[in-house]
Amino acid sequence: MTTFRKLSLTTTLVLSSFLMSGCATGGAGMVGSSSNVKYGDAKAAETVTADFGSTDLQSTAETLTQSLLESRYIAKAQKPPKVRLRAVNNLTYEHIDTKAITDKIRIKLLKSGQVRFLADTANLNQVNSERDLTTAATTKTKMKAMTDSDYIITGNVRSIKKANDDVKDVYYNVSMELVDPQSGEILWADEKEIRKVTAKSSVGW
Amino acid sequence: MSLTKNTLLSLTLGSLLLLGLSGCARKNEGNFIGKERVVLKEHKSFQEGKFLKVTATFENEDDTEVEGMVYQVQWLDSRGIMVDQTSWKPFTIIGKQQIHVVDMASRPDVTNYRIIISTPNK
Repeated sequence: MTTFRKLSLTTTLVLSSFLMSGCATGGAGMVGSSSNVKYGDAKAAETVTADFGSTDLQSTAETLTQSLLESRYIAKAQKPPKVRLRAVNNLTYEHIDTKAITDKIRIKLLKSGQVRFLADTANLNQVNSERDLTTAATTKTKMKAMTDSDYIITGNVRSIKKANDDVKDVYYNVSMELVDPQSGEILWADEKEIRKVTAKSSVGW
Repeated sequence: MSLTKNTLLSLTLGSLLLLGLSGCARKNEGNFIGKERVVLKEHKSFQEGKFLKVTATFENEDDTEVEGMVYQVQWLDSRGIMVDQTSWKPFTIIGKQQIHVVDMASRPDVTNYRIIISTPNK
């Protein structure tokens, strides 16, 4: 009798949980799933406009990272060189977050294990204020010197735009270089070229 | 006696299951999403220093249709786990044209790859 009661209680619980989940909007772990907002593939090729977009950012970072990893100054280095990212200049007419490009390259290079990075010049204020809080600074003992970078990475983003009544053509050129800060010698340089064409009459896709 | 029999049986079944699973694993093959309008003519990989490099050739066998599509390379480690992937890279290929692409993994633990081609709906 007790077993029968237990069994019926379990059945009731299971059935009610099924019914409850059927009534819930969006299901477990989802809110507002009936709205127009949907998650997409973050790596999908995006062609909403001809402006510099996520696909351009990703493909630029991938190409330049691959090229840098193949360069003999990284690939043949005895131990991972210390690199500091300097500014990449945006010489285009539109706003491009060039730091997003260099940050993405840095993430990929760090994952490769072939390169070590020093704090960005933009973040040096934070590093210096942290140094001021260290024991060495507060007890006024000798501070450890900051590490020299073996190389720095700089670059430029350029664009050429042309348009007539039917076609708009945008060409982006992202170039980067690896420089030895001691000698000033450019050791590696490469570029990523992107062409985007917007046609008023839809041809292709 | 019965315990030994059961252990042997489960071991045999486990081995068979593992064999079956390894048979299902697809190595270095192109996968298509959508209609297969471009052929993955050939693909090969080699070691470039610590990293795996992949070259692939796509061909549009149709001599009139211009095809626009995207491809992605998924990077797998020795256990078959996807550890990285490229962005979906767009390319346009005219009739009878071949396109060669080169991609390199940026992680040293990558030992295998999978190329995926996606075509838009027409």
